Amino acid sequence: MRKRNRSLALLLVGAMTVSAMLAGCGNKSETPDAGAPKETADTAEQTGTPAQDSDAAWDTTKEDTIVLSVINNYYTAGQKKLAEEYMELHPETKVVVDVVSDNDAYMTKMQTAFSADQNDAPDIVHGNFVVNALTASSWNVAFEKGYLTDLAPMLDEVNPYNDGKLVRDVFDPNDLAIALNKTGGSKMGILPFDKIGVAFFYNKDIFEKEGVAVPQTFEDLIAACETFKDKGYQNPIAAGLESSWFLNSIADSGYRTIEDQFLTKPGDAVWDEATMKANEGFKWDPSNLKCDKDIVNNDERVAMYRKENSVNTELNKTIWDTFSKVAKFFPENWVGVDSSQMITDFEMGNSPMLLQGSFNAGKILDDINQLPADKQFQWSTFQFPSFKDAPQGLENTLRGLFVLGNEMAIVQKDSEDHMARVKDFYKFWYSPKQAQTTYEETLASGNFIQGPSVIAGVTLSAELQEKLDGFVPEGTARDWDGLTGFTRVTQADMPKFYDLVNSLSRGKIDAGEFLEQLKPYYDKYSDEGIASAGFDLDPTTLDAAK
Amino acid sequence: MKKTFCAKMIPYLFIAPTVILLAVFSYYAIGNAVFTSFTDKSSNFIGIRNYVDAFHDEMFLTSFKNQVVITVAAVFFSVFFPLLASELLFFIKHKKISGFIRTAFVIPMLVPSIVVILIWKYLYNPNFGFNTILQKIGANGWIHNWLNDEKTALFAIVLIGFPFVSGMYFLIFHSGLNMIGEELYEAAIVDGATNWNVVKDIHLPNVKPYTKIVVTLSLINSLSGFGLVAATTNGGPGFATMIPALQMYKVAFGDGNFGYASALGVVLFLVIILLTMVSRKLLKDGE
Repeated sequence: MRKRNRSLALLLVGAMTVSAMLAGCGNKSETPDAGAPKETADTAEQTGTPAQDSDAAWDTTKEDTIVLSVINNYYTAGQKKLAEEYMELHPETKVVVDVVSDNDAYMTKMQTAFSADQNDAPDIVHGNFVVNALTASSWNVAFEKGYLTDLAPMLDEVNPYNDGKLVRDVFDPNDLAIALNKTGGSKMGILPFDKIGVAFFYNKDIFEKEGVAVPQTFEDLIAACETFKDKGYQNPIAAGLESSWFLNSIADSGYRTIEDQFLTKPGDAVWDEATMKANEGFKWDPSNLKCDKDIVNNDERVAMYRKENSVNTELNKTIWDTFSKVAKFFPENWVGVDSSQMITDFEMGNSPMLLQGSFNAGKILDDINQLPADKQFQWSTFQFPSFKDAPQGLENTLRGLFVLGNEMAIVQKDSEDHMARVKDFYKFWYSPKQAQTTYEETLASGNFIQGPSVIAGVTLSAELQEKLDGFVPEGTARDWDGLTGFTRVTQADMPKFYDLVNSLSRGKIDAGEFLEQLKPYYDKYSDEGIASAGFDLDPTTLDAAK
Repeated sequence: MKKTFCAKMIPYLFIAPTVILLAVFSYYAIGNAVFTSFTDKSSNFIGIRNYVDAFHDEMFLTSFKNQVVITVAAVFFSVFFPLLASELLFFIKHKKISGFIRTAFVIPMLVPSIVVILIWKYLYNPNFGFNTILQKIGANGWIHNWLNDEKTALFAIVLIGFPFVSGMYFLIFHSGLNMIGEELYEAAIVDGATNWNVVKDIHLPNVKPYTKIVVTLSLINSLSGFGLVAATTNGGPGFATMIPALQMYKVAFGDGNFGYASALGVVLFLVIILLTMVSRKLLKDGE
């Protein structure tokens, strides 16, 4: 008995000694040690890339974690691969890819992440969701409140993962201008990664069988829908929330003619000669659909217009009335249905047309290729067809949508060391080699890419590239949702908005009644936006966000 | 023998941690929600304005009507079908068969409810599920977009879980029937009672306490949960299937308007208490 006790005691002491040694090892690796040698570039050489860690702008002896928060399925597999490769190069920095299930959950996550300590929020986020959730869609307010980082200075830094070239070298200056315009005009909240387009997908076999020609005009589109409806297709166009971009294109054909009143002008408090030169004396030129590509809107002037006119204007009435002529061929509750259901409708041949984005082209191509031979069909896309005779207040030509897609922004944090790591990872991601890896890994895993890459050097398969080329429009419409009122209501009022859109689409109410009922929700949202931005509705004075 | 002071205090000491945690995480939270319900988005005190707004909010009023439909159906289904199943099982005298059926009723309980909901969502899909069955039997006229049409969405939600026999409520009734003393059945046989007499005069009066528990549990579950609606229609089309708990969630975490969300929560809390008291009172009167 005594002998057994002694053995037990020895065993315990042994176990404690081993534990203490292990704990000691653990402590040593976690505690920053000024005398410890900095990491060499051996690992880097093996993978053929970056700068020596001894040049790193962060303390390589210290461990840290950066979090990339993304929405499920879009590039998710590619981003995970990217994180793995980055961690091989920089073992001291752990990269966590936090995948959120869907858009609604992502909005909620941003609300909660920023209402607590911002230093605990994810580091790289979908910036458009941050501004939608927190600043009534204003990027300038997001910068002012210190939520997001201005990435413009990063453009002139060296990208150690691209043979020492500058970060800006992989981008087309036009795309950088779009990013600048999109995020407020003076600061840059995102760098371009890809472009997304929206178009009508159509089932060539059904069109041929039913003797319907591909619509060349808006009027042709309505006629085609009526033909399909008569032939028993319950929903000629499968459409989800993305269909609002068609509404935006219709709106663009009206609002672009008066867009000079929304621009930042010399004398405005936020005027910046360097980035807003194209604004000076700008007038819309109907013969040049790209004439407004470099102009910069002024949030406060847009807010003034909204305050003064609200949503129930004659122009909006025309826009919504025109849109409803197409929306009546959409499925029930199209505004609330998830895209996958719409895509299935198209793939099963229930709907001859699908209004969708380029971000689902890869999936659709893959799905149709996997159907049994007798169920497969030929498909292609056509752009938003222009009017033959536009309603009063609108121009004939509809510009399409081909805008920056993956809008990844960096959240502002206190720690410089941490920010340096986050920016380094961002540069890693936005280098040609890693962007290519992101695309390849994403496609190989059956995840979605959003559209063609805008990073020079990234290529796609010929078949997919051909499909994506169908999304490039003649001209690119600007974003008018803020003025048409589409989803410009609080999240709590969103179901009421959806209810109104459904009623309009089913012909229960007309556009006038729709806008009248939308007005209180829209005004509430606008007022909250104005209050949040601290606008005094005088663009010549500088305002402070609240 | 007289207990010492320490001996008397021991039960209080043991229960103290639970009471303290309950006070902090439940009662403080409730108190804080009541306080928050009198504030606006910026935490300024605004009196009862949130409550006034709530009773003028069309969506909130619709959500209460929807909740009534869902709750009445949920309580009825929670009592009727499990009780019916327990009764039928009671009259199966073959032990192996009754054991097999009992197990078969209980096994689906192991499936997480969200999985059940998603399976039903698939069944309601316009391209698959029920519509495929309807198409195969030639009832094309009945094919429908069940969850996206405001005329059918609420009805479709209420029917999720049919035939509602598996799970906890079935076990409660099954145990209740087995607790009834043999002497009652012997007396019934002597009196020449039929099976229907046994159900009506012996079973139903004796399972009343269990019915009360089932009614209370299903009432609270139905009123406070929103997973079913959130996972199927998210309150849509429009707000045709909105319920108060889901609206509260959207207001709080969609807009960060915790004041208004708390006011909705307080109203819902009061309604739950009221309905629970009423249901208990109604069932008590008949005991």
